[in-house]
Amino acid sequence: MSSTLFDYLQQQPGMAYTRLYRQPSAVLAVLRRMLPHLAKTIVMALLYMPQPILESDLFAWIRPESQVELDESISTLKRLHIVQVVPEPAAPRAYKLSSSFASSLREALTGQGNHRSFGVPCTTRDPNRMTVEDLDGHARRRWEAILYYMVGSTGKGLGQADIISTGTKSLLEVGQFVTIRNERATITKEGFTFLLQEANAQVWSLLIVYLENALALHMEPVEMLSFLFMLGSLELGMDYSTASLTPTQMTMLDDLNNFGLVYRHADDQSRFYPTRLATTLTSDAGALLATSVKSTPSGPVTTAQAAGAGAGKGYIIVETNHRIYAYTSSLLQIAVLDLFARLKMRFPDMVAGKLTKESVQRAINLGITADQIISYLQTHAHPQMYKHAPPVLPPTVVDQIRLWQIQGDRMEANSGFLLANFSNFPEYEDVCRYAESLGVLVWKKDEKRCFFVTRIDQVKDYIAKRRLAAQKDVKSGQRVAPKAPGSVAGSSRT
Amino acid sequence: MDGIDATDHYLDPKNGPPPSLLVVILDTNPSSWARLSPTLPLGDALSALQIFINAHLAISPTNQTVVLASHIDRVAWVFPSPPNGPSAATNGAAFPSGALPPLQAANKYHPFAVLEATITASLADLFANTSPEAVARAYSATQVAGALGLALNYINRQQALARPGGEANKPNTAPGADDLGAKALLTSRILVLSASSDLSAQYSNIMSSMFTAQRLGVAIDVLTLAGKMVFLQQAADATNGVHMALPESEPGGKGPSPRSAALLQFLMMAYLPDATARKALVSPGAGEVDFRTECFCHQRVVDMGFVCAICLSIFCEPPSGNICLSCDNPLTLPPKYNVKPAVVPRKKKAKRKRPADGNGVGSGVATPADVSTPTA
Repeated sequence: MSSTLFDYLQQQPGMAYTRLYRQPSAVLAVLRRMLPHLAKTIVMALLYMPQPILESDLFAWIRPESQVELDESISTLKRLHIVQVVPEPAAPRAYKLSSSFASSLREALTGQGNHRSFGVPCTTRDPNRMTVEDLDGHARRRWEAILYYMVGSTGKGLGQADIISTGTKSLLEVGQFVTIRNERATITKEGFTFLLQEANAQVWSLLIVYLENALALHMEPVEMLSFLFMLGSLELGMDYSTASLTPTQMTMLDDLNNFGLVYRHADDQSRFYPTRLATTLTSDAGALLATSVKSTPSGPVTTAQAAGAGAGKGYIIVETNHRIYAYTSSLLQIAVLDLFARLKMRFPDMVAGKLTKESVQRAINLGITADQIISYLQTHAHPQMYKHAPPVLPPTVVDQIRLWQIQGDRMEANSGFLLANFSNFPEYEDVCRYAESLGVLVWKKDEKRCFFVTRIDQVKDYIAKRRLAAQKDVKSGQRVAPKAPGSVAGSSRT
Repeated sequence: MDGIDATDHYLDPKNGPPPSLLVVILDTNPSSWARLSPTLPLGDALSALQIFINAHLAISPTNQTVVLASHIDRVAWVFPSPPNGPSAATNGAAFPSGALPPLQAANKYHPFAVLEATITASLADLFANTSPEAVARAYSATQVAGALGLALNYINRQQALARPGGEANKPNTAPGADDLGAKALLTSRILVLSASSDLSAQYSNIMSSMFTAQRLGVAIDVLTLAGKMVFLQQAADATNGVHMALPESEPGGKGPSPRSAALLQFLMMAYLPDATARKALVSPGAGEVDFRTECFCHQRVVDMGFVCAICLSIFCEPPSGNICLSCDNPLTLPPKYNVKPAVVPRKKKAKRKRPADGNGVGSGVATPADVSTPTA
């Protein structure tokens, strides 16, 4: 199962990309969401360039220190079928944008064409017009209903929470976020991971499961994907017409209404409103952080502000003595905090507690990792915590949480690729150094001339390029094997 | 265990680059554009500029933009239009979906459509309110200094708002405190599209803006469409901005003029990368910068001259009455200035050395000085 949108897109065949890139809104979304910053710059530079750019020119433009970023950008662009190498075979190697991507991006920037991919606004006025607050409320109720269901606290003093639809329930089960035992949903390890993500990542995790099960639901994945990307380009607070949507997209609209991504009147099928969960779909992490900081100028986060991204943002204060104070009255947030902290006091707008060894290790036994706890605390840090940032969280607490995990966790599993059988030592050393500079090297053993990487694509390109350059036949076998690094052995728990 | 000791794990590497604010200062001097129109009509330039701004907005949903018109007699907001301005009806918030036919609106990303409508309306408004007398009076002047000042004010405010806690009223205290320490939450830059040339009257204002920009960490990019702006070139150099001149081309080309295509490519390749991306790029146009300056009295290009201690204006020879032409402060020349040595021939240069008096500002001492570095 793919965990991120990028992994999902990569599994798609080339034809899917051609169809996807026909929509300017999809192209815009891919550009915003999927590409590293340098890659965006390269795309924009190539967009109106009449000739393909020579690789040597590209190297002249990018500083030599940024070679790693450049390789990463080019490899991402190639894998997403945005950039093509011309001519084939490449000599001299040059790059150009794939024609469908380039023409759609040009259409998006100039507003030309007749693709109608940015949503058709309603012409008539809605008698029961929804305000942005209404939409936020709708999004929060629906999304929190899903989260409540997962935490397993449904019906526990939560009378007002909506009951989630059977479709959503089965989707959560297919995605292995919950397992059904004795007709009761129990959260899994993946479920905890899901729960501790920020709202935008949660939405995408669920949508990916939705996309992967598209064929089972008799829907077309590419059509769904371009519809999701279109939603990301819509304007919050405006109503859009459903007249131009395909049957698949109409079906999706019902499901997305259940997720809280769009709002539809129960009796009026001709229009829909995107909620904030939908319009921020194509924002990247930095963008979400910036908006969350801006929307909470000072003081505790109110429920209205918390509505912003489904789950609230910016309410936790962590002190160096491991005490935490959370300005929230949301049962859901308290329930999530209770997963890894020992909560002692509850006030009308605040709970106080402590991160203890027992509480953190209990969470780790449930399958939550230290990194997840830290990133949860970090993404939901109170604006007050940013005063002395960086670092946002006290380093002592961050280290202690990690140490508590390491105490019970002596083995780390990395899935990836073992590279072995290098013909000579210099080659091994060179490729190994390259992998290290990319940050994908996990383990190496000089005597055996083999090393282990988490991602293979760029290393493979590098080896091919090396081989081409040296005009030498180099044998390098690649075996695909998930393995634990040999440096830390044993699985004993203390 | 090694991972525990490293300090970089306190920082979240997943966060993308900070949002970027782009302030475009468009020179709207009618005379200059009239001269440019055979090779680069204003309409073509505006289309290119709009694609460029759209591309900037496309890169991240949090990127912001402001367009200012540096006109002959005033500086005007083009985008976003001021809340009580004449074209407020088309302002972003009030922009109704009904302004465009819905099917056509569906072909445009909403923010791009707002931008286009606002720019068109504001510029039409600006030109409608420009009297022929004003054009005749200010033949080739353009209010670049005023526009730079307005842009820097806006940037300063936005940067203060972007800081966590968002106290807009907190002044930017302690020079250098926020330069490198905290991670910038908003990177800003200014792009000047200049079409005019004569700017000597605004020299000191431009230089003040330049130093402010330097301190705020704002790059001033300059793209010269026509004319020559030595001071702006220096400003770009001092703030690590990009400075280039659009190459000339022959008039009379068919279809969309080749210069507008060149303009677009220049903008997209050299001017679009924000501060984050520029760290990875070799900055273009890093040719020789002309650090020489024009004297204020005769517009001669000078290597050495007299500098007013108050406003840093430069004169090739002491102005009449020893009154600074720019700031009207009296200049005090060294008492033995221009006295020819009688007995022992000495080097003239020895006398031109700045007196080590320590009463820098306010003394009004005119000091002949080497002006080859504007960052004095």
